[in-house]
Amino acid sequence: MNLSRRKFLKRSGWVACGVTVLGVGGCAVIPALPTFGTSKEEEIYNWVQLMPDGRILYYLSRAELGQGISTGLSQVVAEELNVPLDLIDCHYQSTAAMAPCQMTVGSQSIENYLEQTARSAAYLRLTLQSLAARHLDVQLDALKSIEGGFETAGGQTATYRTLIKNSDATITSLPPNANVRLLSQRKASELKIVGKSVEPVNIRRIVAGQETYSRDVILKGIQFGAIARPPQLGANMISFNKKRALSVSGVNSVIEHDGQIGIVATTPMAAAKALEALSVQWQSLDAKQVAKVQHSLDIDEYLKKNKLDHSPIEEGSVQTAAINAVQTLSLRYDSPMIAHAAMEPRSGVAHWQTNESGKSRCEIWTGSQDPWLVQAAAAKSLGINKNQVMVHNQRVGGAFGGRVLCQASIEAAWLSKATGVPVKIQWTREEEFRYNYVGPQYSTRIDAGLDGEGRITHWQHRTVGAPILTSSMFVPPYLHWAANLVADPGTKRGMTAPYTFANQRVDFADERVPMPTGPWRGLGAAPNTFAVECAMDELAIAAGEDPIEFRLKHTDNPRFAECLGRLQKHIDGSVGSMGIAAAIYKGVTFVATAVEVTLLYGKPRVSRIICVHDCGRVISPDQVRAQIEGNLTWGIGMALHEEFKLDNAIASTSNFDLYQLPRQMDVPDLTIELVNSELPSSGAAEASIAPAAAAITNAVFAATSERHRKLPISESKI
Amino acid sequence: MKITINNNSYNIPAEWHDAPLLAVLRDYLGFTGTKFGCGKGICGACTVHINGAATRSCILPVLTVQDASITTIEGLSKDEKLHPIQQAWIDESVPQCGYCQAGQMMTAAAFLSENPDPSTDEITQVMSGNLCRCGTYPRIRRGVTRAAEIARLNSSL
Repeated sequence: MNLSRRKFLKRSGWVACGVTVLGVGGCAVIPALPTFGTSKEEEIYNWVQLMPDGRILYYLSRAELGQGISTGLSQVVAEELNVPLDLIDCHYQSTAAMAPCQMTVGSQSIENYLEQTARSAAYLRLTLQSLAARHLDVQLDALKSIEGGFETAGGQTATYRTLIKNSDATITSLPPNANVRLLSQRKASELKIVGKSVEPVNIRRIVAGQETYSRDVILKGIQFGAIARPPQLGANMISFNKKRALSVSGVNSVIEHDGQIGIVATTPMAAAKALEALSVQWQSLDAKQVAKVQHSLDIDEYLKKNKLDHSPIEEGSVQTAAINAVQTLSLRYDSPMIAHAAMEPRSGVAHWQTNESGKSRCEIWTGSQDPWLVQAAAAKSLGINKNQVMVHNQRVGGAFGGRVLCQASIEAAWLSKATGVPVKIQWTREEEFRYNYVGPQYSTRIDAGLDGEGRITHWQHRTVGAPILTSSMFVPPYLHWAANLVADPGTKRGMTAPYTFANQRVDFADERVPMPTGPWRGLGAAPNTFAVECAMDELAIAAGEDPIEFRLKHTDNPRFAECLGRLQKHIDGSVGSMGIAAAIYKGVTFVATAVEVTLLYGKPRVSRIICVHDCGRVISPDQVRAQIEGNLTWGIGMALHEEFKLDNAIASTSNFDLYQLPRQMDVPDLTIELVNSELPSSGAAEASIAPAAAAITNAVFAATSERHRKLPISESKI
Repeated sequence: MKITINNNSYNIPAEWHDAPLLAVLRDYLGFTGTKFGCGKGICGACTVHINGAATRSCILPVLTVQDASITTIEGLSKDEKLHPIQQAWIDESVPQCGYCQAGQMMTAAAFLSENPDPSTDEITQVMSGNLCRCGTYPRIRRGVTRAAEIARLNSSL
């Protein structure tokens, strides 16, 4: 299809998202692309379409995980088209409706998709403008954009509705035009919808219980699957009793596939009973294997035997500078493995169908940060081509890095292929805790010194962690040797202190531990900032200085300093009773946080949090605030309660009775200040988690004079 | 066996009689607004009203509610008018991912019908049994307070 030859595309019978669309328009011929790259210009034209009823159909390029991106980007579409926000019908991703989009990770949606979304909508506006010019028989530039249409100087108008009238077609946008003027990038004072807090997209569906998550998808004749899984990590299957499982009433099939075994039954209870009747015997790990799984990372032990492989920073000479220090500190910080614990345990629905000519396809409903990865993984598991797999992404009930792949969808797919019925797999909470990956453990030693003027003479940061982006979840075993050579960018995120030190050295190693590790909100940012910002606090105290002044003294970054300065104004002299921490997230988002802790029955409780946050121009202020509220709450969990534990190679923290999330009573009212500017927008969904746990730990010290260097604090004695 | 949900009666076939209420609601009848969170009655995502009382449906055998009046999130609003809790949840933009919110709202609605003018401490206490991973707790507190105001305003009209 040659887009450039067409003024605009007319299509009849465009089918809405969520419904099967095979071979419609150009979508089916667009080749699948890796989903780590951003979208190409020719792939964005059909994201925004004018429908016959005058409403705007908008395919959201990102997964909606609760981060509010459907709201923020819909605001951009509405601004570009000069229509009210409630005229936009925002649809979630579908591999059948759009070319692959970058996976929704790393707080990159606004950074990478803001302008593309604006362009997609602007192309449609230009298409409509040329139609309006023809309709009114005027020059293109004689038309001015007004709400829902165009106007000439003489007062003649053409509304979008008029332009599409008498047509059952939808109007999509023009081919790429690099010179398009983006209305959403005007000065803040000229914007109508962008930069304002609005009613979130789909909130009315949510409060009515009507929003569909993958767990809520129901198909006619659907049956329920269950999968046998090893209790001990990595244990092999020895035997099972297929006949007994098949004798359970309501069981359709017992299916073996790629070393896994699963049940399909007419009710979820029958599937669970059959799984029990299957009586799978698992190999018991020997003491040596158990010890390997239970092995805890310890930087000091690690340094006795190993060299740290990666050295992202080597500046000046730490050794020489240390000689000139009047005080030196050697500080050890540890944070544990940590779980995503999203409220929706993952689930998938799949329907394998073969038509009269023998051609098969598999349609999947999933909740994933990357539906195209689900498509590729399902195709591989089913032994078919990617274009035979269609994936419809649903709103995700929390992801936080843990939903890059939705394994339940792949399991539903092979069970559906084997039985020919639509199958739903619904992970239990225990499965959700045990059979996904976790955020890795971090063990860090920071050696630093001070001169007579309270300046840091040298800074040496040594960490052992585990792989995140090169983890065993994403890299097959035969490539581990190569992945091990890479300084994992996820593991090291946040390891660079946001300060200027004349002499510094940062070294780290990723140890490939048996428990699968991977992305957890902010990747390394929170555990690394915990070490960096607690060390800064200890150094400030050793220097006898105010913790904010001490930080300001060591930075020459104006945006970072501005956040610290504004934080200082909020605290207004009460700094002594508060814990301070700050961070620069991925080099683009700036955060400064102050926390007050009080003791209740001897236990620390966070009683006040102030957070100053600079992510450049803010698209949707209330959504950014909500993300910051979430991050600060995660900081409370990380600092005080959360630890993913293994016991005898079994994940023992397998439900919310043993894995403690923050509760309503744990979270105070939060004071948040957004530094709104005209600078480019940067990510907000993970930035403020970076300093949160450190600020709380520093606040515990301010309240109790007890220094905690191992998280979670509630596990150690106060 | 019959059960009554949102004032309608439903037949439940024998193969679902051993199910918890939640599975019958979601997987048999299609009332998917009520969510599965933990399966142990810990997180509150599955909260429904049984004769007006907030109850966790994931551990409640369906056999025990044959004579009860069950209300789910789908039945919270009457006559197409939003329940004060739903209106307040919109006004305060409470949900993020939204998955736990049906349970939060059902807990809050039952609480407000017992205590129409609660203090913040009382709200915090009663809402501490419902988990939210996204971190919407401060907004939930504001939402419950606002819903109480809306309800008072409605009753004075």
